[in-house]
Amino acid sequence: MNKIFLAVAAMGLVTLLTRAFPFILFSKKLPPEIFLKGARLIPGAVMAVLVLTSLPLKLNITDNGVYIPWTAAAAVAAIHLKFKNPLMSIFGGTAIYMAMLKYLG
Amino acid sequence: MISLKKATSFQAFKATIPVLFGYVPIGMAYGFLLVKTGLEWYWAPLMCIFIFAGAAQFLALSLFAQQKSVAEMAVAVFLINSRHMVYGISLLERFSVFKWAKPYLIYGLTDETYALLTSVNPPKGCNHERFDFWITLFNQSYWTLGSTIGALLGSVIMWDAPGLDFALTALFVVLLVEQIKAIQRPGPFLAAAAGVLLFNLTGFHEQALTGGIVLGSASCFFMVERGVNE
Repeated sequence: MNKIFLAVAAMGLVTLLTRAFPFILFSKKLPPEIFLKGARLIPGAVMAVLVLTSLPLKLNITDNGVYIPWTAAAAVAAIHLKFKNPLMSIFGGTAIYMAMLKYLG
Repeated sequence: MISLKKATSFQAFKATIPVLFGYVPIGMAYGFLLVKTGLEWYWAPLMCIFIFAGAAQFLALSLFAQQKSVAEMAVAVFLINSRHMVYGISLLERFSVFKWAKPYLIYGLTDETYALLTSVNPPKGCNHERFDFWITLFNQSYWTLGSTIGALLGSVIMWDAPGLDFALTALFVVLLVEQIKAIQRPGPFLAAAAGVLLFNLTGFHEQALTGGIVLGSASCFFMVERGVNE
């Protein structure tokens, strides 16, 4: 019990520190404009990483564990480009994923 | 004024619906696993409040199972969560005008919350700080709720909607499309993809998330200096 509590507290503190670090570092004033310009590009890079790490990066495309998520992800992008409605793209794509999992998986 | 507040929380709720459908099933899986690891059910809500970081909480369970020391656990969580430092850097500007909600927004900065905060703008008439606060609070509620239900039910029920958690991947795809439209240059995306592939091809699959974010983001600053594609 005590060890678990200590471990949870330590992990919580470490997590909070990683999140607060930039705000502590720049608490007095914002970094220079050139730095902020770079920072504005970060969400794009992060989103690309989040997509790629939540999809299987394997070349055996006949494996349904590989082609099902990639097909569904492509469907999400296609639906989104066509209808520009985030909820429709997300739930349409998820429905396609679940259906493929059920009938092909 | 009261109706405006209501509208802000409702707009934020709408923005978080995809996260609801991802966090609840994944949280339930986390709760199942937590009880299986031998922890009492109440550690599920406690970890969702004290740690509130999905990947780190899953990692914590395997570290508990391996009887690791507190110091080892802290180091492992630091490594997996170091990507959050990058998130803060790109939110410095947005949060600089915030006051009361800032500490909570920083504490609650998960991958999914970051993704929403950087891509969704509050609708007209909504207070920006309150909108961001509600998004973070809704997301944390879904995660805590799912985990607690999962831990309480244990393996009593079977989850009969396999694949529902694909909603989170789908959310990231939609937000990636929006970022590509907004940024209008390939550099950051290619750098991020190269970073992920580098870690994957060299066998460091577990490090691809954090490593890819650090490499991809670092290269963003390089692109401004050099004016690539500008």
